[in-house]
Order: sequence, then structure tokens, then C-alpha cells
Amino acid sequence: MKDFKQEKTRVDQADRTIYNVKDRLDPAFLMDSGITPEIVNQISKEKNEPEWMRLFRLKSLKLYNEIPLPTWGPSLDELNMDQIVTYVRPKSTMKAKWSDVPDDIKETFERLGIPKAERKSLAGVGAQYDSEVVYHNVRAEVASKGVVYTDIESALTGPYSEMIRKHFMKLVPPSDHKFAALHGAVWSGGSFVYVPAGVTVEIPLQSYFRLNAPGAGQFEHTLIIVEEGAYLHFIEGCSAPRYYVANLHAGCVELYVGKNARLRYSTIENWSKNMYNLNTKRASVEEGGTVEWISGSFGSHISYLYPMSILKGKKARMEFTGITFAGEGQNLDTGAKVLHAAPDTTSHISTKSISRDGGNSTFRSVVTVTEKAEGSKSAVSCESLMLDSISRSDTIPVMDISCNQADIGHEAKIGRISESAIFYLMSRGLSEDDARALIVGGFAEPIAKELPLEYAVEMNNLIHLEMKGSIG
Amino acid sequence: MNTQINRLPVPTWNRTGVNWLDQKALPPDREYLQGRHLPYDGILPHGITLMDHLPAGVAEIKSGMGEWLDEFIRKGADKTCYLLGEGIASEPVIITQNLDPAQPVIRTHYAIKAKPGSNLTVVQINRGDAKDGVVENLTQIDAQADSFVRLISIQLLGKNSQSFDAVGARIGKGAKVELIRAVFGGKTAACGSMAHLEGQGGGYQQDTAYFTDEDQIFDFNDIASHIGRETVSEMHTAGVLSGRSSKILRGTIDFKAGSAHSVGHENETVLLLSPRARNRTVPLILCGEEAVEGQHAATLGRFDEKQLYYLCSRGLSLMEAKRMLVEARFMPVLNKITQDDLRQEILTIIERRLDEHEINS
Repeated sequence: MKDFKQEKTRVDQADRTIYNVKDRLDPAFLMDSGITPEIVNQISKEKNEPEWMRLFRLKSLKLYNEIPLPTWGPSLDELNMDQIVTYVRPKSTMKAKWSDVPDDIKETFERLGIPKAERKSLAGVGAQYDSEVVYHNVRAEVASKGVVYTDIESALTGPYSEMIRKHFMKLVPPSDHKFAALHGAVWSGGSFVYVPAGVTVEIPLQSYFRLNAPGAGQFEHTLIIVEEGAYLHFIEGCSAPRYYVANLHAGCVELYVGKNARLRYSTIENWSKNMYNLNTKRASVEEGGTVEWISGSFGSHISYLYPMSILKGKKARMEFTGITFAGEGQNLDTGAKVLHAAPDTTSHISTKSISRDGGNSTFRSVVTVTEKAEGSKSAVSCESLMLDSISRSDTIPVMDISCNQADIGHEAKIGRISESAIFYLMSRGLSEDDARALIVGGFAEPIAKELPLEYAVEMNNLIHLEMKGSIG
Repeated sequence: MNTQINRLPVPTWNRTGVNWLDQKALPPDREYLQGRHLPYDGILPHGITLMDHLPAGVAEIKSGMGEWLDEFIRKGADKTCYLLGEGIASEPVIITQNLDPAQPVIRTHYAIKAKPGSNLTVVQINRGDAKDGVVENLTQIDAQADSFVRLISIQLLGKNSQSFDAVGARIGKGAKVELIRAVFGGKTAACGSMAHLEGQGGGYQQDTAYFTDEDQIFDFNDIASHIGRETVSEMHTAGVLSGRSSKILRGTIDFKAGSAHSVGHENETVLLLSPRARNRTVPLILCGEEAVEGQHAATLGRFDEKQLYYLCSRGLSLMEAKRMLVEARFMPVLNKITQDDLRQEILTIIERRLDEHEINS
């Protein structure tokens, strides 16, 4: 007699060995934990910043102390800011050659495959270790087109200082929310990219952020300006070894997409599972411009991540493609926001999420269409797959429409693997296990195909699906 | 006790303004007459009797508007109507309440207990108007095994009044509850329903139609809570916004752990006629159970040009074509209103508002 006891599909963790290697803690400078005006002044002094930035940091700190924690989203009660070290300077200044980077730090990035990727498929690389950028380089042929790719501290005091001052935290003002204010106060590291008008950067640039110090925060700032008619693909990767104390990532990304320009921003987020990932990303898109967000969220203990696009020019476009994979001990609250503020603008949000082993995945979005956005179109689609009944998957979209000449569509689906799909595939000759493997694998495929090949491979490693028996 | 009305089951960004009732639609902050709890004195059809007290366990059935408002209406009700359904009711109970300057506040507590296998329909009609008038209804439904309850709520108040319509339904094994709503009147109208699908195989169907104009503010919070196995919910809302009106619809399908093999569907279509109208839609799916199917869809926008072109090519005028498309949206609600004169009255309101929109635009 057939045993009807069914084994659950196993969706295993990826092998995190390469991410979990912990370097010996050997910084050149380690700030006291907590956040005070003295610490903020000290960070500014360490960086030899202009006075306006020091004042900006202090103003942000004041806002940080005034703004309450969010009353929605995953609980942040266990995040004790008094125990977070906001600044850790590694024992290396920024280098333009990997051979000049200290061996232990270089080995970390070697293990993560960054120098190899740079040689094979990138136009430039920035590598940040704890609070400072340790490596930055851009190919000569790209630099010769006028493309600037450097760490943001150098840009702040160099020939682009006025450009930085004009754009820095203008899209994401410190008053936006508590962790934007925190970022304004203690930001450190990150990248500045400037692509002149009409220039196409044919192969991507990448910044990789590695947080090694336990109990530390990483607050890098990424500022990208893509001028009229230009194109750039920027890739952001991040990881950290797992510790038993909370780490915090409160970075900020500001993207300025010019008229008829196009910017593709890909992120593979693979923080360790003690990380609070409270990142803020925002893009401003001028007439005819396009911003494309590709986002894979795999790591972190708790995430709040909702890239926002402000479509301020006529016919501006945004596309957001994201996947979230929440496993044991993870509460990942992710999604996207878009503001249609000009006529004939278009947005398309497509997300997938998988919850398993008690993981909690939430899709959260807001689509706002103002009175000015006549002829605009928006489509939102989110699909969630639940792999067991101890996990959660929630969908919380908002549509705020103040224009009667717009077309807005939204659809969401949640559930398990369709029995009829399995039946169909089995009728075509596949075994039940193969049919289930094909369906689960195919669920994430639309996202994987948007990624550069090596990142698609990394994602497939992260979602390693081992099929045993059946779901249900 | 949380005093917020029409609270979103899981909050989101506060700046969206959707986490609870629109501030402009709050109940007036003034003293009311204390409730006299006068029992309903109308005629009831065969199969429905009046209970002289609230049955045990019914007071705990939460509506979608929140515990504070539920208790406020229950304790301060001026009128009560506690109905018991046994067997199949011969015809619907129709209860009409008229607001007028002499009676500017109506607060009624309804309870419907449907015994196993019973079948009944209750029609609530609220009309009339008064300066600063308020109609507050709480309806608590206990649908026991294999029973069927249809609640039809028609709100045709004038533009000086506010309405609050709270509905809670506990749905037993194999039972089915239908909530049919047509909301047209009031300077503000707030509705909140919660279906507690507790028994295996329980079903819940909700169809709502609304049409706003001028400065009306409508605010809905509808929740289908799947608790038992193999439960089914279908929630459909169709609306038209014109003038400077605004509307928030929160629709939630909540699959609790243990609600295996349940299915929940929700959809909304909104037609925005005016560039000054504002629509906010918040369709939630909350899922703590693996073996379920949840789906929601929303379509917000303007008239479909292709549909209008087709209808006009068949000989209809543009106005006739628009009227036909609007009426088609409301058919799921209109078809369940069996009183011809009431259905005709609603059609007339739709026609008038469309005409007014065309004149003003």
C-alpha cells in the first residue's frame, strides 16, 4: 500500500562558506559604539571633510534623535544603536591596484570573486571594506570617455565637489525617515559615478560592500548621475560573515537619470543573517529617461528595502524586477515605490517571493499618480510561493491615483505549486519530482534572466532547490 | 482598546494616509442621546422571528470598523433588531430608516442568528438627510452550519449626513454569507466588514457598488479572515469617482494557519471621471498557510476607448455607451436587489450623476 506521508520539498540554504569567512579584526581606527555629536564630529575630522558636510552631519543627527522608529514593518526593537559601531577604518587607504591592497583584505575579495569578475566582465570596480573604500579602478577606455567612477570621499574634495554638494541627499533628504537621518549623520564610503551626455558604458561597473567587523554599521553612499542620452549598468553586491551580535546596514543610493538616459541598477543582497538592512534607494528620472531596478534579496535578519522612482519628466519609465527569498530567522520587507509626476510616464513592477522554514516575506509598494500624470500607465504584479505552513508571506500594496487619464493595473497571487501544472507536466512524460523541480525553478527564472550571467549563477546557488518527494 | 476606525490589518507607510479612516470622515465629536435599545416593531415574514435579547456569543463578532466603534454602537444603540432565522424565510426582511431634521441621529444594532440550514435575506435601506445627520449601523451575523444569509445594504442618504456601516459575520461549517452593498449618499460614508470563516467549507461573497460625486468621502475596510479549512471568499468592488470626491478601499484576504485548501479572490474596478477625484486602493493578502490560493486584482482608470468605440459603432450615443458600461459594473449588485422600485431608484441616481458629470466637465 502506498505510504501517503509526503516529504516536503527542501529548499536548502546556499553554501555560505565563502561569505562567512571572518577576517581577523585589525582596523586602523575603530570608533566607540553609539552615536553622539562627538562621534559625528570625529568621523568628519577623520575624513578631513569640508565644513558644510560636518554641519550637515550634525543637522542629520538632530533629526535622527527627533524622528521615531517606523510604526509599520518588522520590529526593530532588538536593534540597539548604542551597541553599533558607526565607523571602522580598515588598515588601508584606497588603492587603484589589487596588488597594493593588504593581503588579508585582498584575499577576502578574491574569495568573493571580485578581481576575477573585474578582469572578465566589468568596466570598473569599487570595493568597500567596513567603512572605507579600499580599491577603486575604472578601465582606461571608459575613463577616456569622461566617465567618472570614484569613491565619494575623493569626489567630495576633488573637482566634482560642487556636483556632490548639489546632489548629495537631495533625493533622500535626512528628514525622510529615521535611518535616512542616521545615514546623513554617519555616512562613510560609497561610490560616485558620472556618465557624460551621450556616453554609453557598454559593460557594467560594480561596487562591492563587505562588512567584516562584528557589531558594526555600514553607511555607504552611492551617487550616480547619468546625463542626457547616456547609458550605464551599475551592479551592487554586498555580504558579511555571520556574527551573534547585530550588524546594521543603512546605506543610501541616489540616482539621477537625465533626459533620454537609461540606468540599470542591479543588486544582489546577501548580507549575513544577523544584519539589519535598512537601505534607502531613490531615482529621479527626467523626460524620456529610464531606470531599471533588478533586486535580489537573500540575506539579512531584517530588511526594509523599497527602491523609489520619481518619474518627473514626460515619458519617463521605470521597471522594477525583484526576488526575495526568506528563510529561517528572516523577516524581509521589500518592494518598490513609484511616483508618476509627469504625463505619459510608465512603471512596471514585477516581484516574486519564496518563504520557507519560518521565514517571513512581505511585499510592500506604493504607486502614486498625480494630477499631472495624464496618459500614464502602471502595472504591478507580485507572486508569492509558500513552501510550508510555518512561514508567512504578506502583500501590502497601495495605489494612490489622482488622475482620471491614467491606466493602473495590479495583480497579486499567493499560493503553492499548482497541482494541475504538475499533472500537465507529468502527462508530458516528466516524473512528479522533475515536474515540481521544474516549476519551482521556473518561478525564479524571470528574475534570473534579468541578471548578468555570473550573478544569475550566484542567485541559482543561493536558491539551490533540492527536490525530494512532493510539496503539500 | 484601539479607538481607530477602519484600521488596516497590517499598517503601512503613514504618509499614504490609508492606515485608518480618512480624518475627514471621523464621526462628529459631540454628545449623543444615550441608546434606548428600542426593539424593531415591523412585520417579519414566515421563517424569521424577533429575539428579545442579543444571543450569547454574538456581541464578540468583530466588524471591520474596529472594536471601539462596534462597542459604541452596540451600547449606545437607539434601536435594536435581533433576528432569528429558522428554516427558509418566505421573503426578505426590508428595514428602512429615514433620517430627518427631527431625528438627525440613527444608531441601530442588528443581530442575525441563522440556525443550521436556515435561509434568510435582510435588506437595510438608509435614506433621508439632516444637517449634521449621522446613521450608524452595526450588524452582527452568526451563520450556523449550512445556513445562508444575504445582507443587502443600500445607503441613499443626502449630502449633509454621515454614515457608518459596520458588519461582522461568523460563518460556520458549510454556511454562506453574502454582503451586497450599494453606497451612494452621505457627505462621508464609512463601511467596514469582517467575515470570520470559521467552519470548514464556509463561504463569503461580497459585492459592493459605489458612485461618488461633489466632495463625498468614502472609506471601506473589508476583511475576509480564513480560519477553517476549505473556506472560500469572493470580494468584488466596483465604483465610479467624480467631482472632487475621494475614496479609500482596504480589502484584505487573511489566511490564518490551519485554513488549508482555502481560496480567496478579491478584485476592484474603479472608474475615475474627474481629474480632481482621488482614489486609494489597498488590497492586502496575508498568508500564514501554505496550501491556499489567494489572488487580488485592481483596475483603475478611465473608460475603455475600444469598448466605447464598439458600442457607438452599434448605434449607441456616447452617453448611452458610457451609461451602459457603468451600469454593467454595478450589475452584480443590482441583480441581487429584487425590489424593482429600489433597483430603478439606484439606476436613476447613476444616470443623474453621469449626466451631471457630463454637464460639468
